[in-house]
Amino acid sequence: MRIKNYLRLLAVAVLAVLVQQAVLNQVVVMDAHPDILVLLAVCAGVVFGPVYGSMFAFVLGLGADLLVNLPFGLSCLTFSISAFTASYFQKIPMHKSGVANTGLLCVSAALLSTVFYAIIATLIGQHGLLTSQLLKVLVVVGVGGLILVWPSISVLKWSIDNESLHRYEVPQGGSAV
Amino acid sequence: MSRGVCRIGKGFDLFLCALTGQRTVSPANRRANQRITLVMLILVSLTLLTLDYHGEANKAITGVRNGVQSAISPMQRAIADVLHPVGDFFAGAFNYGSLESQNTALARELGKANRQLYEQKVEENQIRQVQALDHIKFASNLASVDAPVISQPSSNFEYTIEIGVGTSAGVGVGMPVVGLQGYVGSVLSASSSTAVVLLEQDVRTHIGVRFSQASGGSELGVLNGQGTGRPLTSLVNLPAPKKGSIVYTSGLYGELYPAGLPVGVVSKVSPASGQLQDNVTVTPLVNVNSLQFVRVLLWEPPA
Repeated sequence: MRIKNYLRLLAVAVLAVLVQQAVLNQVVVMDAHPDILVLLAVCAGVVFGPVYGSMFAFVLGLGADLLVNLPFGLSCLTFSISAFTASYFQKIPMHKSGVANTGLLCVSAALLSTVFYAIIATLIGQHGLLTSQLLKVLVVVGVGGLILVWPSISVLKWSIDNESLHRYEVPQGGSAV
Repeated sequence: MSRGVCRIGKGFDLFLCALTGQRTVSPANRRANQRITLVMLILVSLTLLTLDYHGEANKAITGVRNGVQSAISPMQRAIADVLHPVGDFFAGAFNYGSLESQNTALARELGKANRQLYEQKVEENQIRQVQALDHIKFASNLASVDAPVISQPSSNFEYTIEIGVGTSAGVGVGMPVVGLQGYVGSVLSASSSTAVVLLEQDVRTHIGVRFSQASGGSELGVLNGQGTGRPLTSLVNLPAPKKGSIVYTSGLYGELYPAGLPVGVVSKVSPASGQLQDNVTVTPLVNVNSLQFVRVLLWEPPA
């Protein structure tokens, strides 16, 4: 089961990179396009938790960095931190929380991650990212995120299979914290 | 907690349990592990950034990037061929409000057309664009190679496109890329079968240009990209060029681009505060979003 889960996660990461590169990059609105990689990264933080969520986000960041000619490691950095942070906002276990709340949390985190990316990039010497265009990017990433967030969460849940989710669910009233 | 049930709490780690099996971890240890993981990931990221900036690893990273782009480009091209109409549909739908009534009627008509007919029109359009490249009047004395645009910018913070020719067709870094109307950008990196083109609006772009003057002479300047969706700007000595005049690459000795490539049209001239120059805003001639084919001029910039 472990190998199966790892393979599924790898397949999800590769598929996400391909979908971003081949499909979403072609959907250009207001000179911006939806970003499924940042969305998956924060969704991973929410679904998998801080440790494995941020690790999966890091791997997604590597894939994202390979697609662009911006500083290598920038996406890894922002995705990891965003996933880690998003996981702490998900205080209620996935199977009990409101679906809409989880989706909105992920989209909001993706938007914050996008802003965070622009800020970090500016701090390390990239110019022209903190402009009015960033607002358009946020609109497109936000709208795209609302469409893509539930498929993303579903795919991530599938990647560690339903059996595992139910088997390791939190007992009623039990809190280890 | 009963045996066989993972001890997890709020904010929890389903993944840990799913991948590693049932394990009991104290809350304090788990929090420490979480922080250590984050710190390690941040350190690795910062190391990658540092290597990319200053180290010899930059070449290796560029090689890996080119390799990955070469590897996925066939699949990417195939998927893009199938889904290009879908992307065009969504882009058109989002821009609906700004279209003229004639375009609205045309969009409705297209919406009623079946998929096969739509794809056929797309292909015809591509053929027209390729044929149109043969009518380019500038830089006709330079060797060139035509290329399809296979991908729009991969990041919302980088203004590049990917084209379907690479080093195997003679394309090299720095070579200018043009469309039917004029200058598009220059090759930023190239693999054997694909190349990434840095568009003229990217902030990393600086183009030596010649402004046509009202007096009949011409003035030199350097156009600077201002980022996605924004026009280019330059400071120009007085008298400033007229609004609406075309701007061409200067082609001076040592310049990165050959002379005479149309770059844009002067859209605004405003006095620069405290300087004996005017601030000139130039709108690019080429609409990158509608580009499907471009021409790479096989012109090596001086070393």
